[in-house]
Amino acid sequence: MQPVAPPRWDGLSVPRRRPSVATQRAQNTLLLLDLETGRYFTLEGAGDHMWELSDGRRTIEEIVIAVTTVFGADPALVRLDALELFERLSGEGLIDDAR
Amino acid sequence: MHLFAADHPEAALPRPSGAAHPLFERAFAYDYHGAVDVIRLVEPGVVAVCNPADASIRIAVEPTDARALFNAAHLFSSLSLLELLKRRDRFAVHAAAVASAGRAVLIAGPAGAGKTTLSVAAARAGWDFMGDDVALIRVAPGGGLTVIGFPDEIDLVPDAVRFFPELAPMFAGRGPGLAGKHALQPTAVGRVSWSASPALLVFPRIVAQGEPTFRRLSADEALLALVPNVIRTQPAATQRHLDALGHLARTCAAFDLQFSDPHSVPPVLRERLAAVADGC
Repeated sequence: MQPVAPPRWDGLSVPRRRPSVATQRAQNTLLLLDLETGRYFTLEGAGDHMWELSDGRRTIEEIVIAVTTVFGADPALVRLDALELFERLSGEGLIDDAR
Repeated sequence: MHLFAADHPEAALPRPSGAAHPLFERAFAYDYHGAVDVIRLVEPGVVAVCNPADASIRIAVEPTDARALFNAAHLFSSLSLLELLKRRDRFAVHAAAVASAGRAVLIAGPAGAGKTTLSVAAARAGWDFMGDDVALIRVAPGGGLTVIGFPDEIDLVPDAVRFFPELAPMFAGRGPGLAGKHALQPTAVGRVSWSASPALLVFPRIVAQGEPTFRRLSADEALLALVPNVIRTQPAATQRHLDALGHLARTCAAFDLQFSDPHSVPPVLRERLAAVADGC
């Protein structure tokens, strides 16, 4: 039997922060602490903003538009960054798709 | 707290059903059971269960096992008590604490960093002693931070005893305890203080030689260094713990400290303390 591939993230995905993740910001860096595994991660800038917008209601496309507006970046690049980030956060068990 | 003798501690305090995750390092059988909101700690011959809902701590121990009794009376009692304090918004920092004129220096770091040695050296130099391994922080409703002392038994490694020859008579005729350290009562090293305003956060490291060197840390670096202090239990309480550590990192001047002679550090700490604004 072939292993089932993990879900791929796309523009219509709705990222949602998992409740088992505690967060804290000291200065410029957002710290994410997975309470189940003890692993912790840091986000800055656009990635930090994307995390904050991952409320289980906004799609990735909506997050991309919001981040593009705040940072004045190229939407295509922001979209690529967002898909890469959510793929990684999902792989670490910090976020899921509420779609 | 109910400490009782049991021939089979694991049977006396069985594992709750449902999923659990480690409180910290996976090497220990110290788990949080989220479905029932209890922590359970296991070592050979001793089991502790802490239930924050009724503020109870139950410890079953094999009465003939000296190491099990030691763990029951020391580590398991302390970890359970710290969890109950956490639920009352007194958050643990793995740090020694000393104070001068009501202003505290937190000396944070893992085992072997020099917390006990530095705090005893500071106490011998006239600082108030607040604890050699754990301090508590509390955030007031207005946002101010307070350090609360946790001056339980001081555990001094044999290698550090050479720095304090005047304390040697206290160890005469008895070797290190089960933890491989010499036990001292806090009042034996100086004056004990229970409360102070945090002013400095120091992360020490022992080096072979040289004068003490300080390197300023950013708030982000300080928070990252403090994250291992978080004991992962109930999400809401753990988030408040992390919030308090973030508050500490944002508002306290933080430094990496390298030192070889602990007695050279207290005078420099006093200078640093004078250089930072009052409180955190």
